[in-house]
Amino acid sequence: MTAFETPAVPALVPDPRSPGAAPSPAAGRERPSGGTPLLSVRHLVKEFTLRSHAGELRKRVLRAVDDVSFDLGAGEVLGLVGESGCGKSTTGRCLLRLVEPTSGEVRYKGEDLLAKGRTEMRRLRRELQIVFQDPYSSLHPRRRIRDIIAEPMIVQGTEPRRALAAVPELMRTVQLDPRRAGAYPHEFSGGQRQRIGIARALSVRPEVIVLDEPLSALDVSVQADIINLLQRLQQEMGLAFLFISHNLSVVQYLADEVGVMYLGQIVEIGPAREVLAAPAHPYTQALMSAAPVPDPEAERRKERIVLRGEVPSALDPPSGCRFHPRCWMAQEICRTETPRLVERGNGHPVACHFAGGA
Amino acid sequence: MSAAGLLLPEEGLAAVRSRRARPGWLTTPVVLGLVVAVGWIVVALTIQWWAPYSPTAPSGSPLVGPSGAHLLGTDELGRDVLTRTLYGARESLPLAFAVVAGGVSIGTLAGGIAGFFGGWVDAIVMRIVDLTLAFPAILLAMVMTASLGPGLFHIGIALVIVWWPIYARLLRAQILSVKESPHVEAAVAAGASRWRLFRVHILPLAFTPLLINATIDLGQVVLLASGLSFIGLGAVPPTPEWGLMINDATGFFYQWWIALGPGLAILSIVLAFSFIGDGLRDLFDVRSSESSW
Amino acid sequence: MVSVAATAPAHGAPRAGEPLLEVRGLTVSIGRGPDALTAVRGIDLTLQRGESLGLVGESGAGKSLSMLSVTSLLPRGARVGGSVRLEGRELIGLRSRELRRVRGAEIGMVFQDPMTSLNPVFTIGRQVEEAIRIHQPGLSRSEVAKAAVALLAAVAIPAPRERLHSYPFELSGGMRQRVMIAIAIANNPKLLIADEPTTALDVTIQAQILDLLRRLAAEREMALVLITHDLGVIAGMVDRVAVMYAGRVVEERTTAELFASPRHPYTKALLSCIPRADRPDARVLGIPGSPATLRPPPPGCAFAPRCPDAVDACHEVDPALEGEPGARIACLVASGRVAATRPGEPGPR
Repeated sequence: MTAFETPAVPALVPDPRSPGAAPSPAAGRERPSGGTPLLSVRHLVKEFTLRSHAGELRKRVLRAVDDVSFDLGAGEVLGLVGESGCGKSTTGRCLLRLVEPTSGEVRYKGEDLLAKGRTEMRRLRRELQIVFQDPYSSLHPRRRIRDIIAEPMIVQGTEPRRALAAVPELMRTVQLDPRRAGAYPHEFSGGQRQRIGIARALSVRPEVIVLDEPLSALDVSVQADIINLLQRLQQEMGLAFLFISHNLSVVQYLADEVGVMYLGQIVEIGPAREVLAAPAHPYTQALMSAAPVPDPEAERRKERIVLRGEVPSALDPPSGCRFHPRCWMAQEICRTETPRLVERGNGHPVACHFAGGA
Repeated sequence: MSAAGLLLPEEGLAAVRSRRARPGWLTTPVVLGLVVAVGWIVVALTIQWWAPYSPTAPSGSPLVGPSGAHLLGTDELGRDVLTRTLYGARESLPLAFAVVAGGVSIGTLAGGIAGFFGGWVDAIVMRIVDLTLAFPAILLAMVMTASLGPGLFHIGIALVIVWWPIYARLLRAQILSVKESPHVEAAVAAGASRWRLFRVHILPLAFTPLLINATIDLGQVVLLASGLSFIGLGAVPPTPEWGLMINDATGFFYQWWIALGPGLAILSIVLAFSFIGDGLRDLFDVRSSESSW
Repeated sequence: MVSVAATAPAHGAPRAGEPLLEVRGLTVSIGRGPDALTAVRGIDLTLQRGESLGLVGESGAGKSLSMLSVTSLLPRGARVGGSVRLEGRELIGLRSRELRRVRGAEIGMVFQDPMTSLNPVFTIGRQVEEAIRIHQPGLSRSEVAKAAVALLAAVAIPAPRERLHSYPFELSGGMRQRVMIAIAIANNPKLLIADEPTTALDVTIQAQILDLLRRLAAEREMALVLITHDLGVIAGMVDRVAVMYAGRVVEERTTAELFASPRHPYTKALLSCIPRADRPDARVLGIPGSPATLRPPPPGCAFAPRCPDAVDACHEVDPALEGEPGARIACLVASGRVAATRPGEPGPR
């Protein structure tokens, strides 16, 4: 058993800005007791206006994120799951204002990020970082690894020499050989590049990291290494994660809370174990059923839910409950009235008229 | 049917690639191109010291075919064709470098400004680009010649004016495309200023195709300048310019050697720079692309 | 490179006559000279009519390449060795004309990326009809059109007659993959090879497509080879599984047994890499080291440097795949040919 465990992660990353700074308390997986959540999203909306084709009178509007609200506590991991086009990636980017939200509120430490000016936002970016999905295009191809990792520190005002001096320790933290700091990204494998991206995000000791499908482009064995690395870092450094993924099993491994998205809306949100063990929303149930399990017996015993039809276009979402055309429990009310995301006796909010009886 | 995409152990591949004896981009055509181009540059710089004959004064009987004394024969005024061909490099190459350098400079400035500021600045710059692109090169050359007098230098000005918009457009398009890359997003997330984003993360990558094009364009300028001289809008006699020489040769069809020299010279230069440009493209690809076959 | 002599030849008595597909010692090399890479290093597989086989491995294992070489759909500079017999007929070395008769008619293929596998400038109907017409040239136009509609209906595409006139860009990923499947089964092939058919699709669509493949294979009595990196997909789809690593098959078992009692260290490691929503407390373990470099080829077992059970012999001797079909393994320690180290003794590195 022990031969498979990855080596222990060395001591915490030294803070390049103030050498004597104490590390944040390891929050583990308990929800911090009371107080304002670190990140508070309310009624987030993002609309994309598409260019109208010749002959069309009106511009088409795509509501990629449609009234999304959730909280993220310090040291907590919130998983955002859904299939392509559900808006989870856009939501993550809106949080960091990499994409400007159309409306809504994103409160970080009590203050509305969306109201911040450019300079103030730049300073706040130190605390809100991101790890991308594609390890190949998320690193500048012509810069050396050490410059890539040091970049956030330098941008935030650290003297370049001190920033570069912090690189070896950062590399060791993500289990990379510091002697390769002078190499270029194309000399590394996908898993290693992803570690470089993580080191880059960690370099400024953020409070929140948005991880946008960080494992999807990696091999299974590499995914396992990265998941464990992320878990260890999250616990030791007390980081808050917004973990975006389409893979339910990965999310349940890391996340305290999980939100399920469909066509721009959250349809179910609650403690990870609860939501995944006893999904209340039919879409969540379908997701759980569709997710392949590496166990022939379990596959055979699984309640098979094969959804009808395709995911509708976000440009023209169905009326009422957006899931109703594919839902086996759909009734007339589902077509006419959009269900609100509220507690219905399952212990956590669900957006379904008939949740509360699976 | 989709192509058979190969999936190979990345680690091994990446390690091996950086250990190869001869870099992958340095193919035989590239080496050939480098040799020829450097050769011509050396010729242009040093010919005055080792030329067999004078390029302008007659050195033999006119219209004599290739022989031991005159490897490419003599032209209608008895001048050695080989010497004139070699001297032609002194006319064409400096012009090519000057025009490309000028075009790249102005084009980069314009394209960079358009790409960086966007909005109405972009719109204005791009309209100027469109306008200039609409100008036919020959017409502009004629205007230059008419107003400033003949000569390769004035043609050079015309060529720079005609060429810079191409680079401006290219750079702007590249900037717009690179802007969307995740690594730029990462830099934004780090808090990089717009200028830093542009200078460090966007421009170096956007500039590469420009560089490749510029290299190939060195050959294209030689071709165009020769063409203009051929129709009488460029160099004036007795300048040993290749286009001019070919023009002279049209009157002497059976004395094929008179056109052979300049013709081969142009051909070799254009090909050489083309190959080098291809090699550059491969070189930058290795650095930028994913580690896959 | 020393290789342990195999015991009895690795295929038992065929079930009902000759096996449909017999692969023996298949090798694929790319490039020449010292830089050559042997990506597939000798694999043996047997497939009966109507049987389904899963080929599982991570990227670089050689699973796609080996199945592509069955119909010689190889990139330039790739050389194939060994033997691939379809109903006794040797496919390696067949002339192009013969190969073209096999492709599409006897062996159908479904590829990974439905976005790029279909020709964007032709309608769906045209592409499906083309697949039919190539191998059944005698049919009239209306017969071909009718057959095309029937095929689209067979893959559960709604409004098939209207869909004939659609272009690929009008269809979603799941729909395009259905069209790909329709093209692949157009001439009732005996064997369907699906190379990561659902990797690019959403999980709910994946469930639909896998369901479709399973149903079609059963209805049309097609043998199915499913190539994937996803062990979860395999678990519900195939009778037997072959696990590949570094160009070799390292374990081949029935599906139930592979998951219940994996024997090869790589298989065990791979299974422990996967988080499971139904086992929220299980730890996920990675595999130390990095994937094998095949240039130069490793002296012994390719997995030895990363294997917790490896002994000295593993680094020198390359184990052959031994055992009966459905219960084969390529491991010196697991097959009992060499004594294992005592538990607790550290593995390499």
